[in-house]
Amino acid sequence: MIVFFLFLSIPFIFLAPVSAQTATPSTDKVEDVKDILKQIVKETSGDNNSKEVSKEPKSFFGTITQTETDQIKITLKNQNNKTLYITQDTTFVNSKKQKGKISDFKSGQTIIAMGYLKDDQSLDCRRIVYTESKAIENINQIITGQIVDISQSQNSPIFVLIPNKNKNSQYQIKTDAKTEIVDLKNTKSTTAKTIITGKKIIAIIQPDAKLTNTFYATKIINLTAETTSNP
Amino acid sequence: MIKEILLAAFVGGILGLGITGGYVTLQNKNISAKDNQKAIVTEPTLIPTQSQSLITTDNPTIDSIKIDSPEDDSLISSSKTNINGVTNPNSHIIIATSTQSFIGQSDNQGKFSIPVSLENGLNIIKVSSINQDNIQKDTQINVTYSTAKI
Repeated sequence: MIVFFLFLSIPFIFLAPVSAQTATPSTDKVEDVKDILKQIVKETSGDNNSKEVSKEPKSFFGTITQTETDQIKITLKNQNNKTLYITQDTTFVNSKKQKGKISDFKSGQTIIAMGYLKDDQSLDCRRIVYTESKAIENINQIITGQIVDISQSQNSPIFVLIPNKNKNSQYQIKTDAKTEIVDLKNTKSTTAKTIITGKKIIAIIQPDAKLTNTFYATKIINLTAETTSNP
Repeated sequence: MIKEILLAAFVGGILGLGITGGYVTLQNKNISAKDNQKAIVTEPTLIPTQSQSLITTDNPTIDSIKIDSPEDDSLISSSKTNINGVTNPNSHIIIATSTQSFIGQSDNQGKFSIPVSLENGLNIIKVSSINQDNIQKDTQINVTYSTAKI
C-alpha cells in the first residue's frame, strides 16, 4: 500500500516546484546587465572627463564673465552660461584683429567662440574672436500687416501699418528711393502699385536712427496679387 | 501466482499513469509560462485611426516654424547655405540677415529650402513664415561663417 501511495504522489512531486515558477520579465535584467557593461566600459576607457560629442563645429557669441588660465566663462544672449576650455591649440584674435593671447580678453568684452561641444555642453575652444556686439546685431524686423494711412514726405511716402500679430499697435514706416519694393516672386514693383491704403504687405523694417517711433523700410513685399483689383 | 501477476500489472499501470500525468502537467505549465513571458515582452502596437496618424515628424499642420538646418549656433565654412525647415504648407517665407533679405515659399508639406548668403562672422538670421491666413510665425538662428581652420 505504501508503494501504491508513493506512485500516486509522483505527479504532485513533479508539479510542486513547477507551480512555484512564474514568468518573470527578463527585459529588466537584460537592461541591468547592459547598464553594468556600459559602466565597466566607461571606467576601463581611462578617464571620466567630458568628451567632445559634436561632430560639427559650433560657435557661440557672448559676454565674458570670467577668465582663467585654461578657461573662459561667457554669458550668452539667452542668459545661459557657457564654459570655454582653452588649450595650446586655441587661437585668439584680439580687438585689433591681430593674433593675441588669453590675457588680451577681459570681463565685459564680447566674443565669438568656435570649437566642438563636449557632452557636458562646455566648448572645447579652438578659436576666440573679439567682436563688437553692435557689429553683429540684426536690427531688421519682419512685419506682416495692412496699410491704413499714407502721407508724403519729401516725395517718399510714410505710411502706417497695423500688424496682423497685434492689431492694437501701429508702425509708422518711412520709405525712400533705396526701399526695395517687390512682389511675392521677388520681381520689382512700384510704389504706386504697392503703397496703397488697404494693401496687405510684408515689410522688413528697422528703427529710424533720427525719429523715435518711426521705422525705415528696407524692403516691402506686396502680398496682394497684381490681378486683384485695388480698393 | 495469478494474484502476483495482477498486482504487478496494477502497480505498473499506476506507475505509468503517474509518470504520464506528471509529464503532461509539466508540459502544460511550461507552455503557459512561455505565453506569459511573451505577454510581458511584447510591446503594444499603435493602430492609426482615420483621424490619427502615426507619423508625427514633418507634420504639415505644424503651427509654427522650425529650422532643420543649419543648426542654431553652427559654424560653417561657406558663405552660401540653404535655410531648410518646416512650417505651414504653402506659406511665404521671409529671411532677414543684418544686411540682406530673401523670399521663398513652403511646399504642400510645409517644407522649405531657401538659399542665403552670409556675412563673415556671426549672422543672426531671422526667419518668418506667413501662412494663407496671413498668420505670422517667427524664429531666429545664429550661424557663424568662418573659413578659419577649427
